[in-house]
Parts: sequence; structure tokens; C-alpha cells
Amino acid sequence: MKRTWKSRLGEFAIWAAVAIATALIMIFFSEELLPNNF
Amino acid sequence: MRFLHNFGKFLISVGVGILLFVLWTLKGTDIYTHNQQRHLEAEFDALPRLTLAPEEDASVDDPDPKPPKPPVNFEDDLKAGDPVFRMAIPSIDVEDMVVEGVGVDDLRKGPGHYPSCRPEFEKPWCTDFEEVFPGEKGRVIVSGHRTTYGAPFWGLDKVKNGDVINVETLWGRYEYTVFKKEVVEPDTPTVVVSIDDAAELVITTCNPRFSASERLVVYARLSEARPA
Repeated sequence: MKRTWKSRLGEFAIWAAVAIATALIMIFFSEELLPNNF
Repeated sequence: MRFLHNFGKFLISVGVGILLFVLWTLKGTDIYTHNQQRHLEAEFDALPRLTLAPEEDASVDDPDPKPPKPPVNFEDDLKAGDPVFRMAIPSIDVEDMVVEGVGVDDLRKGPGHYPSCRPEFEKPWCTDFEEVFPGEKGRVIVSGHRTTYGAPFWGLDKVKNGDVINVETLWGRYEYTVFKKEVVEPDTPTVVVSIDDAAELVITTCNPRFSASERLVVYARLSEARPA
């Protein structure tokens, strides 16, 4: 079944949100993840 | 099969997220530091220059003039993150405002001047030794990021003996000349103390790049001084 462009765009938006959420979580915990003042 | 298909997409998204985090760490943090440096420059330039009264100035009519020194207890008025002096290393194209303190938040603004332990400055971000400012005998200690947050000392390993470090304070301008460079373990106590009580400037940063396992230390001695 061929998917509509809206459906593809919707799925892309979901995965983009997952990527951005991952980056934000890592930035939030960067003081624990990275050595201090390197 | 459909689960594996979606799980694969999920892993790719998380991977892209990690790449975004690395990009932010290496480049995004520079934006924050450059903004802070702009504010610190403006704040420092707006401060009145400190000229000592003739009776306080030991260099007047002195056949062996002493470098201008900061007012007594100057550090008492300094808070963490305040601009202390401007430092330039022309050989590696560095010019930064140095802030008071070497805590995590301080070094995000720019290179930090190592403070003595007092209220607002606690171990391990301070020293039990008396704080030394440019022009004074002893070691002015400056620490800064090698990578991230503007990476002021990215190229510090390129500094050679004889290179000049210019310092502009509210009370004087100084030229320090590099005479030694070494790699040491973190928290090496000898870095803090001047051996022969000379007026020196010591810059420390992490080594190698992207690691905090060692410290690269550059030592410079006062070679020229004049009032602000």
C-alpha cells in the first residue's frame, strides 16, 4: 500500500523529535557525562 | 519484522541525537562563551582605571621601579565570574577576558584566574596560597578550556619559549615571556608556587585535547610593566 506524503512527513517528525529529545537529554546531563572543564 | 524495522529507525534517530549533542558540545558552547566574552569586554572597559596616589606608588623616584600592583585586598571586591584582566597571546591568536574563579560556570565564560579559598570559592576550585595578581611576585594562575566553550587554549601546545603574553589590568599593563612548558598530572602542587619568588604567569589547560587526564602548563615571567 502506497503511503501518503502526510504519513511519511508525520513519521519523519516523530523520529526527528526522538533525535532532538536524545540531544536535549544528553545536554541536560552533560555535566555527568563529560569530565569537568576539559 | 515490523518491530525490527521501527527499532532500526529508533536507533538511527538516537544516533542522530548523539551527533547533535557532540555538535552542540564542540560548536554550540562557543556561541555562549563568545556572548559572555562580549559582555565581559564591555564591563571591563567601562571600569575606571586605578591610578595609585604618588605616596602609594613605590615606582615614583625609585631608581629601580617596581611594576604597578593592584590595590590592597583587591580580591575582596571580586565575585566569581567578574572580569579581572585581558590576556593576549599573539603567537597563537588568543585574546580573552579572564574571569575570577575556575569553577564550571566561570570557565564557561572564559579563562579563569585561580582564586584563594574564601567565601564563594571552595575546594577544589581554589588554592590555600595567597592569590596573586599581575604585577605581583608569585604566580598568577590562569586555567581555561582546551576544547569546548570557546576553547581558548586549543593551540596552547604551539606556544614556544620566548613567546609573549600581554596582560591588561585596571592598574597596569604587563608583558610576560614564556620560559617553560610541560605536561603534568592533574593537581600537581608545584604548579602553584613560584620557586624563586619571581613575578610569573602560569597557564594551565587540559591535555591531550578532549581529555582531562593531564594538564598542559605554560610558565611565563614578567618582562615589562607600565601603569594602566
